[in-house]
Amino acid sequence: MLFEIYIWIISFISTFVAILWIILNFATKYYDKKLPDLKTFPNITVAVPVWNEEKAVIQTLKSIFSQDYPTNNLEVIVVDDKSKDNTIKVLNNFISKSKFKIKLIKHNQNLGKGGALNTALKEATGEYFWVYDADSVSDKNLLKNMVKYFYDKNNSDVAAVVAITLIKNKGNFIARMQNLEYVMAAFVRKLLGTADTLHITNALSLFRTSILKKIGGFDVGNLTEDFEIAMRLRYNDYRIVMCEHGNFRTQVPTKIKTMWMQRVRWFRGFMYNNLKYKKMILNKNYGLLGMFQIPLEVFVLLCVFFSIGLFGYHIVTLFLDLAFKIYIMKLAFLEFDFPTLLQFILNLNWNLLFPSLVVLFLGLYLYLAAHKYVGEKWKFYIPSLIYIFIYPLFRSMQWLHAFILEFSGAEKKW
Amino acid sequence: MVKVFRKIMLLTAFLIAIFIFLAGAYVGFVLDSYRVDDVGSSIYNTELDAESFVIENEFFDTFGIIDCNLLSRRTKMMGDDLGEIGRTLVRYDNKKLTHGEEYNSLRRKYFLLELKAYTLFKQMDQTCGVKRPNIILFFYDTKNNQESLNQGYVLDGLVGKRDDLVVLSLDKDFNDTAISSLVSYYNITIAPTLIVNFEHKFEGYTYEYLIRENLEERARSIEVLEPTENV
Repeated sequence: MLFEIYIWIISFISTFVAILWIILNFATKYYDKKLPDLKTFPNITVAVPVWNEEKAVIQTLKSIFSQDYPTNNLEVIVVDDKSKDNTIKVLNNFISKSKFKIKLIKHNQNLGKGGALNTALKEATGEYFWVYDADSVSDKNLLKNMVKYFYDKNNSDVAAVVAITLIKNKGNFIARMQNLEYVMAAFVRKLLGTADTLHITNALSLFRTSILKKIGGFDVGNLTEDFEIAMRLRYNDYRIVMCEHGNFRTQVPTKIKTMWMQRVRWFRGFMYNNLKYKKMILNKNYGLLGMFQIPLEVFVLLCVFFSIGLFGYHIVTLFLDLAFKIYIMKLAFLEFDFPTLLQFILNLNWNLLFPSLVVLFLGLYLYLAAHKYVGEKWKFYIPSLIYIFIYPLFRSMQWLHAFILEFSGAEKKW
Repeated sequence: MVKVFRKIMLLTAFLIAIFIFLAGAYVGFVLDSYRVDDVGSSIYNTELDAESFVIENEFFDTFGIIDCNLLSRRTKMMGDDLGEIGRTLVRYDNKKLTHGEEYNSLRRKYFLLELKAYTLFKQMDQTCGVKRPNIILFFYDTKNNQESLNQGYVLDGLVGKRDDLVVLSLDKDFNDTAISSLVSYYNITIAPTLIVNFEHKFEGYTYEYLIRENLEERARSIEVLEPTENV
């Protein structure tokens, strides 16, 4: 009975959130998306933190300079975080031949991405600070559109604009599965942006330089400095909006182990930063973000752990029960009469099945809407099935792994 | 986005979610009705079979006919039907959301039907002696019932393997005077308890081999009593 009540609670919350997202999705269609026209363009500092990026860094720089943005207004600062490969050599070679303004700063020791970004921030002269991960490529009009968001009359308190993230390397099975995750994440971020509850930045975010400097730059040593800076901006009453005009593509892990460790790092960062900004939870001063969004995320996290315990117990019990049945009944276990359709329907546990089906259908609708939003063709293929039905189990295990590492004081490393 | 609009969205989403769950509860209610009807109709059919059995017995008594093979087959069929109803009732009972009283009433009807069958089998025991299937009366409980569940699997396994076995299962704590009488007659204090062929009592979880041994002992005694007889 406890199990059923729990499933009902989870299903109700999932249904509520799914409906809320569907409403938000419809609401955004009536939301004025017209961006202001800019006659002059502000100076932008593009910060490119690199670490062992000899293969990707040149493509990244080319992507930056191929932006439909006046190159005179771009200041590119590449910070090498003590690479062990030929990144420096490749960069020097490129810079010597380049006609653009590129500053290369070398760290004497590895400080992590936050440290590299802070180094760039110190040198930044641009009005806006564009974080540009070295494994990313962007649409040509992305920067221009992102900047425009700061000039919207309703966005004077906006400190950061984030772009839609999609994946660059879709050739591999693992990557294709992550593609679905990125598509959904982009869609959800758009919805959070619409509800003014967006509290994450990503690998290609544009910040107001003055605000970044005012709040002390990036948190060095933080496993998810992009999430931390977003939480800090929101903590200081600044807003973050989603740029819906253009996207960028990033390289994702293609091996299970690398992907696993990346997620574990993200989830550790999520736990650490939520604890760091726990004052925001159920705090009316933060509006819907404090009263609804963050508590919901924390609740979902608690549910993940509770589910692992509860489902684990049920699976073990079911397995033991089945093993006992087979041991006792042997082949008689397999002897049963096929039920009629009515009996089959009546035998199903609709108390659990009905809410689960509702959630599944709403989820599928959102899944389709997300693909439409990012302009990706939707295909119902094996990675989709795995992503929907099996990946959540792995995700729960990743959360558990992250929890164990975070609260056992394990070393924070990338 | 305007704050009022956000509040309206939250409220709308909440109300729609409530509506969906009410719809789910309604589906549950309708399915429970179907389940009650389904088990009710099976019980009704078995009740008719029991009546038919009684009438047939009376007919045989009146005309002085004793066909123990036929009675034995009828006993077995009735036992199997009751077993199937019992399993369906347990399955449905686990899934019910509403109609608690109806389910309780169905369970009562089912147990009473089992008692009726048990009485008929006992009468047959007096008429046909050894020429009847083995009867096991299985007393279980529904609280802390893992042992009862396991005993149920053991008995299901045995029924699957043997054609000469009928199992009647009763909730020892069920609130009915007839069941209480039987419980007190056999002095049932713990669950599971098995009464094999009206007299051998096994208390607590009983291993399959012990039951099998008991049944085979009876089979051997049949061979000794009537080695070549055919009816």
